[in-house]
Amino acid sequence: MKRFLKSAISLLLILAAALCSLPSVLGKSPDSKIAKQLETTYKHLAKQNVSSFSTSKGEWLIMGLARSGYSVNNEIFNSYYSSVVNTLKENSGVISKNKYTEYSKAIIALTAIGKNPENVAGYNLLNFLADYNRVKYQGVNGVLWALIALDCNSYQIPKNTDCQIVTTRQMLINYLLDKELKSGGWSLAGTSPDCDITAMTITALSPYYSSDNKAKLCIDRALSLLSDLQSDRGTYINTGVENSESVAQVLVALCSLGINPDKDKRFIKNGTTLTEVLLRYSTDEGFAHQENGSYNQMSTEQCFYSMVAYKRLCSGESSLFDMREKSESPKQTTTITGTENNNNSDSKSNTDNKITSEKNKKNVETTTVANSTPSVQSTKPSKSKNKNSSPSKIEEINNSIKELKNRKITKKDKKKLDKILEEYDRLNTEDKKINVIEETKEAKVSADKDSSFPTAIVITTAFVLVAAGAIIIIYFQKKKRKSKEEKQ
Amino acid sequence: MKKDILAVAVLLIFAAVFIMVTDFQSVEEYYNAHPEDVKNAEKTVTISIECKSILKDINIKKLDESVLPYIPNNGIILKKTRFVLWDNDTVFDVLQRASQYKKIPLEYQGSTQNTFGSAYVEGINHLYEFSCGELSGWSYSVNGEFPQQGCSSYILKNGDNVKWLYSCDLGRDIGNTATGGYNEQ
Repeated sequence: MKRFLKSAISLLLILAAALCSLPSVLGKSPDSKIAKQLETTYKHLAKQNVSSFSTSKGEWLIMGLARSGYSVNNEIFNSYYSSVVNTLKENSGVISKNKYTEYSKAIIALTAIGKNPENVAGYNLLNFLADYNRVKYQGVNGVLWALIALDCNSYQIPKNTDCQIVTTRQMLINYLLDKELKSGGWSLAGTSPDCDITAMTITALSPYYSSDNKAKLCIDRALSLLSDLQSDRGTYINTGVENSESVAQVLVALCSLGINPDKDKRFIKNGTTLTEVLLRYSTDEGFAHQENGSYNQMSTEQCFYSMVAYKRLCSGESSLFDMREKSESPKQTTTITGTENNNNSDSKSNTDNKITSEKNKKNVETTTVANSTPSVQSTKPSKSKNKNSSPSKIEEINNSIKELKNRKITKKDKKKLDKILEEYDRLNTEDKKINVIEETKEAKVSADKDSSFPTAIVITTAFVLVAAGAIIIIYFQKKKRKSKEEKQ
Repeated sequence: MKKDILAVAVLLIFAAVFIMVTDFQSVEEYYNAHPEDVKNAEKTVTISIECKSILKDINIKKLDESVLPYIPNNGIILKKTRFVLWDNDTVFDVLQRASQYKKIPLEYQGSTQNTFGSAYVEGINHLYEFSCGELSGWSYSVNGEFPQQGCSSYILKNGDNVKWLYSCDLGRDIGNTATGGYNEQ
């Protein structure tokens, strides 16, 4: 009897153990699906054309790749850095006149790749964020991104600037808290909350959750609002459309607070977790804007970095925008769980840290991928042209003008001149300092009036004239013969 | 005989002068230089560029001072003008042609220079996004509706009416309610 009991118990135990491990043996858990899509998207993004990255294109891609933990061909980052340097040099340190979010974005991307935004081609990009009036020019969006940029590496706001009001972090925080809507959350305009703006503002205020009680209450209200805004399918709507970017921003916001979105009941609707919702927008190489849509670059870049944020949370690394040297994973804030296991991200980051040292002291950790994500993949060097830096548009134009300057302008050159003037028109006002452009315009006018027409027309004209002449002569000759005949 | 030859010579000279003085152009070349000559054009569209919203009291004080000289008194940068429409012309193509012809400064990012995959109009006549407050910028409508797509991906049809309008209220003051900022239910 005892023996039987013993074997029965051990059999039961074995069965129990087997059943517990079944889920991981059977169908993929959401974690592994995310991991797979992360890798797929990374592969696609890592092989995009490096020479096109600049302050107007690809910065989020750069930031995402840098924070992903995957080993990335440095050429991608170097190419981006060179383009920023060129932009600043060509425009006397100006990236944008009205949109200071461009500076915030550049600061974040540069920090992510281990560069120092306080000294890019001799310019300190933080200077721009010191101008409070300009920072809040774009409203909530301008302010929240300035805060994220400042905090991504605890940057000091330069004091010796000649702007009217010098920014302080507290001013930025107060601005955001002031703009909270009655319903909670934030928007660019009006009284109804916008889920993307709300999520991004949460991300910006997240470093102050524990230290600033007002911020904490604001964030809590906003989280509650985001939970309410989430549809029964787990989706978020913006401009009347269920879209992937809104999901991505909510994911980033939650992860920045140390909340695991897939374990917080507030964000699980009808059994569907946020990462599962995100995956609904996946395509072969990345993500679409809407479900069943086709690949969209903007959606892919945002969804990619949201997956990176999630992965960093799961593996206990610092949050997406926290790029400080020895930063820890965010202290977990309120999580309303429905399951037992709490992914306690209070644990110190225990991943391997390979610190790449740069000339300056602002280092970026490149961590090896840990836990549920696949091991580091090494990339084949991308087949891009080996050039130091692509010639600036201005240089191109100047060269073309030089070429034409040294010879007489004829009608043939009209097309070339048109092209040059077209390219010139496309430059922004700052670039239009090309003095010789006036000469070029005059040259075009004279080319238009040029009387030396192409040989084709000359030949045709000659033929026509000769033919006409021949016909006339023959006619007159016939006439003569007739009159001669008549005379006889 | 001499008279005949003389007559022929005179005729030839006339012909030569005529050919030299006349500017022979293909139809395309002609319309490129005279996009407004729509009398015999097969397809046409109209385009106008306005910034009337800035003239309102609540908005004029938000205006970036450096832009003030470029605001026309009546807010009309380009009055409704008819242009020739070529096959596959997009809203952006027509804007570019019109602004070049009418010498209106236009600044833009080409479709390969940004993440949107479409040309992005940064400024018209020195008026940019955020030149008049945090909710200001350019939008375009076709036949009164605001397409939710980049201007270089919207292909025009014969008879379309394009309007480029400057808004100071995220589109609400020009009838564009889909810019997302408001989300009023």
